[in-house]
Amino acid sequence: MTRYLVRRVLGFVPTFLAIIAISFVFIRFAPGSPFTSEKAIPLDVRAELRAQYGFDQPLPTQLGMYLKNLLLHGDLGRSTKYPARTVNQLLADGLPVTMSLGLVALLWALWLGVAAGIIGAVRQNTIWDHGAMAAAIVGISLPSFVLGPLLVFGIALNLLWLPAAGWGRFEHVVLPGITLGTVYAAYVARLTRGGMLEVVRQDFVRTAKAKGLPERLVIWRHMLKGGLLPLVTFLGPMVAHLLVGSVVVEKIFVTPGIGPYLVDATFNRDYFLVMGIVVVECSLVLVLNLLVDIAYGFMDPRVRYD
Amino acid sequence: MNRLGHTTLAGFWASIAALAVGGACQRGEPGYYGTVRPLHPPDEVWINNSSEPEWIDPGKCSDNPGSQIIFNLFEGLTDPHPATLDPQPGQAIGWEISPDRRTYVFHLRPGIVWSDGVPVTANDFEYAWKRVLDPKTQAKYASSLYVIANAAAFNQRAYHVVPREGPVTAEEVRAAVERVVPVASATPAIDLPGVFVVVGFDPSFEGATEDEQASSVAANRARFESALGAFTVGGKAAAVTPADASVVAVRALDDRRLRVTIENPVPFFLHLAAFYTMNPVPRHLLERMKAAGENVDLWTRPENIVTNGAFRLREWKFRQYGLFEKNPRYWGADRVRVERVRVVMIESYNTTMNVYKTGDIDWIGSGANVPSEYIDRLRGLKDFHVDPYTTMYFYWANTQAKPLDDLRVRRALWLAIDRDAIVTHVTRAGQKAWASLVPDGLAGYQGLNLPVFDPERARASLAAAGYPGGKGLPAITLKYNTAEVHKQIAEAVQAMWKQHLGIDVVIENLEWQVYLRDLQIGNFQLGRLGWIADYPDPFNFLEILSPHSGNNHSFWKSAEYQRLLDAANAQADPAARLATLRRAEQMAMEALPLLPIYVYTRPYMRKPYLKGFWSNYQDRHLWKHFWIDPRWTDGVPGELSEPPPPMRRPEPVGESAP
Repeated sequence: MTRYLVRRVLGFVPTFLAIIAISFVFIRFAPGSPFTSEKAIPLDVRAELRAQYGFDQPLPTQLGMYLKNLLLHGDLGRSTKYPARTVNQLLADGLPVTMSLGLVALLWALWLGVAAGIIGAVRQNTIWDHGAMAAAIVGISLPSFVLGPLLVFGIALNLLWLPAAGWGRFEHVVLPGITLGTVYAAYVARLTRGGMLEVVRQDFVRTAKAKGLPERLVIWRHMLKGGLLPLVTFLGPMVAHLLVGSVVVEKIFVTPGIGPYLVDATFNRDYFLVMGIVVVECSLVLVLNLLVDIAYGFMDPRVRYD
Repeated sequence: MNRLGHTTLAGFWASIAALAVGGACQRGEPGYYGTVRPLHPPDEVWINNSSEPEWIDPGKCSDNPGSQIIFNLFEGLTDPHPATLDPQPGQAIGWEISPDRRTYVFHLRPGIVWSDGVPVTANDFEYAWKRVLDPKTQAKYASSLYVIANAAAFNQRAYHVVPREGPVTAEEVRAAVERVVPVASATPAIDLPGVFVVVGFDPSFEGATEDEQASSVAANRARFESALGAFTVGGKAAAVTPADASVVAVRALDDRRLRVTIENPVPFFLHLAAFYTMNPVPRHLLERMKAAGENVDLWTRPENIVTNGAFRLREWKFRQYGLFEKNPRYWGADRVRVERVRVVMIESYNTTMNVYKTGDIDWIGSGANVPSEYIDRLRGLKDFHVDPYTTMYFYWANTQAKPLDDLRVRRALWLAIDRDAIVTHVTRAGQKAWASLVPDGLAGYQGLNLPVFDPERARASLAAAGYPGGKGLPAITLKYNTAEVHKQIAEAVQAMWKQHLGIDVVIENLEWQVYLRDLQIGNFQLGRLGWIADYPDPFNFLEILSPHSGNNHSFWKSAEYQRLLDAANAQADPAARLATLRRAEQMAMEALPLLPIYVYTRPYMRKPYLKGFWSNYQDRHLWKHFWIDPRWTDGVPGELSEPPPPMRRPEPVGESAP
């Protein structure tokens, strides 16, 4: 297991460096510059700005500097859009926000999705099953930019139960959490149902039932462990997505997280902020995939890492 | 110059808008959008500021979100009247203007202090303005101060060439320097001996990106400096020094008097003195932080900042909100009725409408637009307002690109736009169809009022160019930055040209940065832009066509036009000046380097209980005039009350003290 872990983590290094180098170069191919505006900026002011960020250096030099600062000091550079702040500060401010929103969405997705999936599998081909799966199809097809405004319209503007936007108190996280989590809940429900149906006719389940265990215990002790395997595979990318946030949901609900950064920073040619998001997202995906693989070892006795 | 509009699924939002507006009657007062009772105490105001500002440092700010905050935290020498925006005494209680209208001596108001109690002095202004002009400060709006004599020379890193003996003309110096490197400009130093020379980029960089041009300039400067040993002007030795802060014609005569000399006797300098780039900064704070080795860029953080305006900053939550409180040390604090202002940063226009409806903001703020799909349904609601706004919407014509290099083609396109149809059916918020560059009414300027639509003459002009009925016309592409409203206008114009001229124009949307790059390097035929007035003067619009302007994307470069602009600004008589500017505009509109379409308006939402809010042409609304009337009802005098009368303005007195 240890050797496996070391091998995997070492394998990250070239992947990580390649992603950074490619992103660093590609964002520079986009026409325009961080200092372009419709009102012309005096040439010498532009030159000073560029020099301050090192953009006047050759690209390989800039990449070398960036990697050096990143790997030796953990320094992600300075934002050009929020010039009085470093990318590290922006991420330190925004990541906890996005992660708490992501966590609420994750819990919502798992609770709703797993429950619906189990009901669907256990009551296969009943009205319960069809109802749950129809709801899942609707959830998958309903994009967050539709669900979000609908929730705002219904719950915030008409019922006045929850705020329409903002951040700071628990009630601010409910609507964006539901908006963000629902589409995942639908996937989770379908995966759970599929996984559960795989195991529902296995011998060990029949044995458990034959022993006279109540259905609830059969589901919790025996079926779930195997039945959730497909879900666990999906969980890695899903958690990664939820934790790096959503542009749409965070814009609609004015959540001060990192969700909008990647898109906005790309539009603003805020090179270092784009890179900061790439570094975070790429690390998250790599780590979460590793965690998923490790989780497999615990959940499926057939998987060994020696 | 804000980017208008969002790319959303317009139809979907329209239906949400219909639902939301339809629901307006269920909650709150009929005839209003949402709640009409303040959710906050009557000494508080809640506003949307749209987005996190880049800077709230007056010298460095260059965006609308920053300016909205700065106007309330800082005050310049003059202060705009809330309705007319005419300059009134602000930090200066009066001023003397020399008979040639070029030298101003401002007298600071006695007893004014920063929010930490340190006196505001004339030194703070001199320091702030020279700081903006120092290229090292990286002030993007430094050019707003070029009106000050010799200011551009310092900001553009000019060389000050002074011959050791005898006078010298700018032309002689230009010729001498051009033997070594290209020259961008050579201008006589004002009230100083010698000439300022700005080194330019190599001709091969014409049409390159600004960054490429800047590196060519840097290389040429190095070349020029290495050749200085043998540099002469007309065979005579000359001293060449970099123009530094000392050449800029602003000086604190003492703690209370500031003397400024402007390059030309333009009438708008007092307006400009209220613009945020000219606000003072607390020299004592910046120098203390610098001496302590701190990052001076952080001086505007709540723990550091001191202000001289009506408000001070109490708390700032990045990308969420700012909390401001009345500055008790402000000279006019006893007339400020608002104790606290809460400013939120909501970028989405639809979300802005939602939180306005629930009463979480009292005014959508000057950075947010009412989404166009809401406008038809909001019309008639009493908290929906439309103010005039001196901003032009137009299409640049690239006069070097075929077939637009032919004036007759440009004229045909210009005449075949049915502007009334666009403002009536597309933009729909009371915009004014306008076919020339300068809107009406700026400082008494009478616009050209050209015919807005004449398909007959358009067809004739196109035929005269050799394309009768549009036959044989090379392909034309109209570019715009991605936004729903620009798309709708471009489609309408495309259809009009098809209908009236028989030509097929391709329209193409581009992401903002790509679009600006294309404008800059001339990779376009027609491209849209909006231009906002920073101060009420026709020059504000006319200068974008100056051959020297970095904002002129048409490649129409007329020395005669520049001569007219210079002649106008050299005239001290305002009426004569406006007449000359009008000739310049006529000249431009005969050459048609751009196709104007309409003058903007500002549609916005404001709760009926927010008072002290007067419409003005720049959508500038200072919090210090606001007050909350929790017992408002329709028709009580509060709504009808007049804006405050203008303050007594000091009359110009004779030649100023030295």
